[in-house]
Amino acid sequence: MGTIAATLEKAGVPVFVIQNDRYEDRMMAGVQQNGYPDIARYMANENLEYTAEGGKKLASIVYPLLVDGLTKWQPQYLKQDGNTWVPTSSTFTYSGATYDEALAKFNAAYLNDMFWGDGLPLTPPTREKVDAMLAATPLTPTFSLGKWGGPNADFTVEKIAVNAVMAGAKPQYFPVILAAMQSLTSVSWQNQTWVVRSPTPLIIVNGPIAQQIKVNSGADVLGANPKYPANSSIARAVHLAMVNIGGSGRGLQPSHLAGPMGGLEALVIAEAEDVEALMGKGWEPLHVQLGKPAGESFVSVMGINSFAPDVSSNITTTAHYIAPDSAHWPSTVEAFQKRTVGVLLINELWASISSGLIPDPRSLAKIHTPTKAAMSKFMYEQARIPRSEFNALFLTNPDGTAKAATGAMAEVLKTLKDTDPVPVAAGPNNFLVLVAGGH
Amino acid sequence: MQRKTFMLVLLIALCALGFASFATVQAAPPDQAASVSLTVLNPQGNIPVVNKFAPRLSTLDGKKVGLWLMLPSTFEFQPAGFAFYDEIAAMMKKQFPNVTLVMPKEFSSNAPEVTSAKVITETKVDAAVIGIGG
Repeated sequence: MGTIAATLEKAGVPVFVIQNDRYEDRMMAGVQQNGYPDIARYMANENLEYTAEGGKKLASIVYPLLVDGLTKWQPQYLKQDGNTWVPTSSTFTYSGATYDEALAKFNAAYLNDMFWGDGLPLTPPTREKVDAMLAATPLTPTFSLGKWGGPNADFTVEKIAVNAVMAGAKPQYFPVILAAMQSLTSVSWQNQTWVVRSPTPLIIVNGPIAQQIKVNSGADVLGANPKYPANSSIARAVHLAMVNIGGSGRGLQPSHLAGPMGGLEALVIAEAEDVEALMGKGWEPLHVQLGKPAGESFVSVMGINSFAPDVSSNITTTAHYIAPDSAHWPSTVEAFQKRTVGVLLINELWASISSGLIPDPRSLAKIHTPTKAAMSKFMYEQARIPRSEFNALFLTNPDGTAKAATGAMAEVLKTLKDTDPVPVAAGPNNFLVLVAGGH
Repeated sequence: MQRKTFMLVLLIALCALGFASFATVQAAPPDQAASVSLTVLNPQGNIPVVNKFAPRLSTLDGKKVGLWLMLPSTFEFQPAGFAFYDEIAAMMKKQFPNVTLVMPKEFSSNAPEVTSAKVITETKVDAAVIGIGG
């Protein structure tokens, strides 16, 4: 529907869209992909009766909006300033007899009218609070970390700070939030599609800042732990920035049918770097593996497509939990080569992120490959799709006839014998081993 | 001893007073004046202008307006959709007697959107309403 609406507008035909509200994100993705920040529309209540009477009732509600939409509509929350759509107002003021009353009005407007949130109460982004957030970075407020989202919105330091305040983040978290947003905005938003599902950003914090701001690397590392507010509020800040900065005043979610795996748009963890002391050489933290100095703080972001926790697997069967992803077979050889399988080692539990499962590193001492690199190599060799299963998934037409592999898939298959199982990622270095969780 | 007792009582009294003051400060709302204002910043970002919106029509009177109904294959709203557009058409005719309506045309949600858009533009309407569902 969004592409139809945008195409008509481009052709000079003013359009008004009426749609069930549950399709809003999907429709708006089409609108924004086609170069419009918004569209004249009415999002119908899903609960209206599916009867002729219900249709008539809806007509009486929609008609005046429809006429306005075709004769005088313009975006409600944006105005054109030269070649840029800018917010219609840089501030909003809410008044009440008491602070609580004003606060309730602010939350009602931001959450219920503009959908600038996640449904939970927000911290009001006052000038003072935003300035305190901005004081935590040497970057200027107008500095842009990148353009991202359907409408290619400008992710400036100040806008990220506003969203961070709304999320309840402390100023000392801001450097991590900025680093995560810089990473996120460096990846084309089309790779984080709004329609079917979006990868959940896993934000991994390494180096001294993890301890300085108390990012959890232990128990409940993937969940909410009140002893470690940094994890939850950084995740919430990233989520709000992703939906609000480019949301055209609609709080558009970067995912639609299923949504991200977490309640928030992101997961935040610190790596348990003390494992290196326990396990010795070969267990350097992620940022050191990536060539950064050990004493440097570093934030990595990994988009998670699937998540497979398990508590009863072993190193041999673990690799086979990595699911073939028929919907997301990389379209180019380069994409296949960049594809990463992240393996999260959980002390005392076994779990993995993005497809694999691996046991407690201490139990790895029982096997002969107790290093991160050795585990990556082991996973690369073991995490393969049996050829018969691969052929059934990828190389069979609906009528049962065989079809030829093309693109990246053909290139990968050329390197294998006809009966070889197919690797899920290009090489050992595409298996990223992290340590976190446990007690 | 009496002095010690006095000091202890004084200390307790001061502590109680201090606590009472503290409690009073904490219990009071931050703003109890007749009106409190909360000014907050807008979290939206700037967005580059890529395409211009079609100019809005000064009136629908004398114009050709297309009403299009998208029908997903499992669409329960179909009867309501047609009733909806009949009602809209009646209202439009009443307010704009010279409007020409392209009455409910269907397009499938399974059709490529660019194809549906082409079909609509080929009717050479001045404005279009598209919905519902899908």
